[in-house]
Amino acid sequence: MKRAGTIAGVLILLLGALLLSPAALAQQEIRIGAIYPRSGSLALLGEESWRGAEIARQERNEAGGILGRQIVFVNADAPNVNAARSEAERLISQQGVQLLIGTYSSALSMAASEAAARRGVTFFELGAISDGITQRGYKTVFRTNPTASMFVAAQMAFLRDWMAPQMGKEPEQLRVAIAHEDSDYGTSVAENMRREAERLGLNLVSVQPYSSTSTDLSSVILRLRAASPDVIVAVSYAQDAILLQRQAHELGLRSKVVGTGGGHSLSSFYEALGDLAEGVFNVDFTQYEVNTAFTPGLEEFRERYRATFGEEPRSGHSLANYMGAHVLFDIIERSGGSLDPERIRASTLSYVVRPGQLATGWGVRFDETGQNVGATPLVTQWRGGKLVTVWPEQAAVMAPVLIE
Amino acid sequence: MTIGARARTKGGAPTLPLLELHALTKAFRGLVAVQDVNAVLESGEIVGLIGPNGAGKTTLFNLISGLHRPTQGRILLDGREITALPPYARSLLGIGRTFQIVRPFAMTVLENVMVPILARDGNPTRAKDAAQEILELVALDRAANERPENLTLAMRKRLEVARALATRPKLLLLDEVLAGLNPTEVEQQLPLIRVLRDKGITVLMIEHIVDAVMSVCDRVLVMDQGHLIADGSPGEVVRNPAVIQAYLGEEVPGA
Amino acid sequence: MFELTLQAIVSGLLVGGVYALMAAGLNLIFGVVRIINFAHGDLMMVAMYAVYWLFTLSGIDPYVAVLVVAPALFLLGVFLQRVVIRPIQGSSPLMIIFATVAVSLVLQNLALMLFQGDFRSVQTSYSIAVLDAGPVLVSVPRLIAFAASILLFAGLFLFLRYTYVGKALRAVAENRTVARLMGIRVERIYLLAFGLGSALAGIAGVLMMPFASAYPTVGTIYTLLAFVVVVLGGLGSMEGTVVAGLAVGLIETLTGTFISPAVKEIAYFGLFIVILLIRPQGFFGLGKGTEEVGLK
Repeated sequence: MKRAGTIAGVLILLLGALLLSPAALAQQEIRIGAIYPRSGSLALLGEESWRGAEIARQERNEAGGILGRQIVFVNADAPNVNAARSEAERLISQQGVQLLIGTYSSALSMAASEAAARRGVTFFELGAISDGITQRGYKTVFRTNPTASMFVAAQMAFLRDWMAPQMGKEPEQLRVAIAHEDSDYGTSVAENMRREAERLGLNLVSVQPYSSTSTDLSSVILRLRAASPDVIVAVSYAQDAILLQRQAHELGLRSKVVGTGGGHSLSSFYEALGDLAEGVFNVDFTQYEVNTAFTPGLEEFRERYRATFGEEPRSGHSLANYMGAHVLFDIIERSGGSLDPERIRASTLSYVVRPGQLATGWGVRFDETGQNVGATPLVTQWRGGKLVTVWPEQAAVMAPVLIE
Repeated sequence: MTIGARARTKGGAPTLPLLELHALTKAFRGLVAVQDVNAVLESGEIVGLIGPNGAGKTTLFNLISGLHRPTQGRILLDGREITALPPYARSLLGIGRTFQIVRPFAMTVLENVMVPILARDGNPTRAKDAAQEILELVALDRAANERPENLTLAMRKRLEVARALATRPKLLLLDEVLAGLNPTEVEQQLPLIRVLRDKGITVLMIEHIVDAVMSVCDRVLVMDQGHLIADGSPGEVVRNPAVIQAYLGEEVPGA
Repeated sequence: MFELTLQAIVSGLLVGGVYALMAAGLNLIFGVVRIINFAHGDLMMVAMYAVYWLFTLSGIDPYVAVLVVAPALFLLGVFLQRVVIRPIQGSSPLMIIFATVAVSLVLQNLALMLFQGDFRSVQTSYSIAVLDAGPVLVSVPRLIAFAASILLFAGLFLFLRYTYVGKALRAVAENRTVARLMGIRVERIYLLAFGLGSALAGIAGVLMMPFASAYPTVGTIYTLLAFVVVVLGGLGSMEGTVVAGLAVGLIETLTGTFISPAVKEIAYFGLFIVILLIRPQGFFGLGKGTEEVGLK
């Protein structure tokens, strides 16, 4: 009798443990780790990015979740690379999370996705653009947004196909200067630009690296001015994009400016500069002033964003993460709700959407490296305080113009 | 301002001593620098404080001026307990001091003397007049607009005294104002100390030049290893066996 | 080439004036209170946000806002000295460094919490005004900031030289022990110095706001720059601060223009390290107190 009692006791304990274990909870909910920088210097766009994914989650849950199961984000703040790595590890080992998303910043993404891949856990990047993220041979790392080299390709094509003819010049006559912040991000993008400009036969007259924490960029402007470029292609964060534009004005440099996402697309760029921002081009994730026939669902997203956060979206980062999260939810659904890495990979590689059907207008087609090669950046222009999509034509709401 | 005007006059009705030290002890992390010192200073006295190096003389000065808090014991000024008062408050109550190593501020001589006066009365014109008066007293009036670093050591020592005087002290603590001076300069400096007494200021002076102490002091306190080992007239003190013992092995005092 | 050089020099001096002003407050606090305030740039950040909100909510011109912001920053400085620094004054330099770094983190995170990471700017009629002075172009708000900095320095010199409070500040800076014995209430002078130093950081923030943006971490780089300027010019030396501030601005712009913008920070940090090695007291340094803050 005594022995039977012991066995019964052990059984009850085991049952209890089973009921309370994370694995048991996961039967009801789909748990996804969401790693974004939400404090520190990357917080502005980190938070903005997270908001997009969060809206997608709420929307999907209200529509019944994935195969009837609700989606839960296990949120983690990763203000720096170490935190990104350790938070990824913590979510996996302590929270039992089997799938991670993030991160906005390329450096954070590299660290977090590596931590995930080493443990065989799936990682979906929805917003960071460094090419390297999907070039390390990890089978469980995917990216829904376009890469830096896709940005550069769009940018240089715009210079050759639109700007040079507009100025009445052959591509080889168009004097192009590059100003880039000198971290890995800016340096690698600028290197891509140099190669792409050469490949397209543009006349590259000056390349100026600078530190994005600089308090003064007059020397950058003076060097650019000495090279008298027709157009300056800039790779900048928020503060330095404003500073470049302002000091160019202060020092009489009147070249056209084409940004590369980042700081040139922020509403604070216009708020700080006003008229000085007018006519500045940018290549970026899909923005809000876009031909909505090309981006079905964008208006609904924007309304929901306003309702949820009480303000306008601050950049297209939220939209990109929104679109990416929806793509991921679709993929999970196609795996029958399973987060098994093998099954997720199979559903990801077989998932195809033509351009112009999702809220960003981006197509979806993943290559073997896990990169969505169907995503294309768009060219926008600051016009009357709004960042308006101007190129390519099917996404444009206005025709691009050169503003003196 | 009249220098020493607040100091009491000698020979009036029986009064409290100016300064009383009761069982004063100061230990630094176990090292006892001043141990159980009891002493009394009457108004108008010139008292010498001598003793070998490390005897605790400067620590005693620091206790009196408030730079250190005693571990034990009490300090009374005019019968009033000042043991817990901060230095600026003691300065306002009439305790002035000089430092062995002169430490003028990087301002003109005149401005150096004006600072403590201004700390009591913000009026710059009055402060300037009062400072001039003090500079005359210490014979520095002609150097008023010099920078202290351009003065001779003897002059800088006098500036140090002038600055202490500017705090309008009843009690002036002089820390080796004669050290480093040649015999002629010492001779020139001594009358100044007597002038202070004539102004009604009580003086307690640390001095190594025993000849000078003997000639100017009414009374001498001798310290050794934190203890007060003798208290008496200059004549008595030099004959005191404990004092002679304390100085054995030291170079001959006054050499 | 001549025009380029001239323009680089003018731009360098303009930016150097603001660096000097930032450094003046840091140096005043260092000289008198003998602490290195690692939250100095963050005080500037607070002022910049104050200007932004006064402008946005009440339409108050940034330069008028100084009437509110400078006194407010003075009080904030007094508060910090009284509540944060005084209780730990006299403990190890490391402890005080930790305390001011903690203040810096608190202020930054408070700003992040209250205002998010957005870049806040004010647009005034003169924000983008430029003077065409023959061979050089001069931004009007930058020129104003420079001129105001120089005037403030002149005022500061006169104040320190000719007023009792100024003398007392100098006396405490030179020797707090003697100052105490002279009857100076040193604790009050500390409050005053911290208040004045903070107000100077606040004024720097006001002057920059027409051409710079406020964001939670804007102060960090300025703390660093101010620190470089103070060490170059000499801890405790106001004359040195002016010269070093202008020098850093010039070095930054000239090396940036004639070598490469990528090396301009390296240039002045390199100079900073060389100075620390060969002349730790700076160009004009009094050299006093450097051991107390752990620099020697």
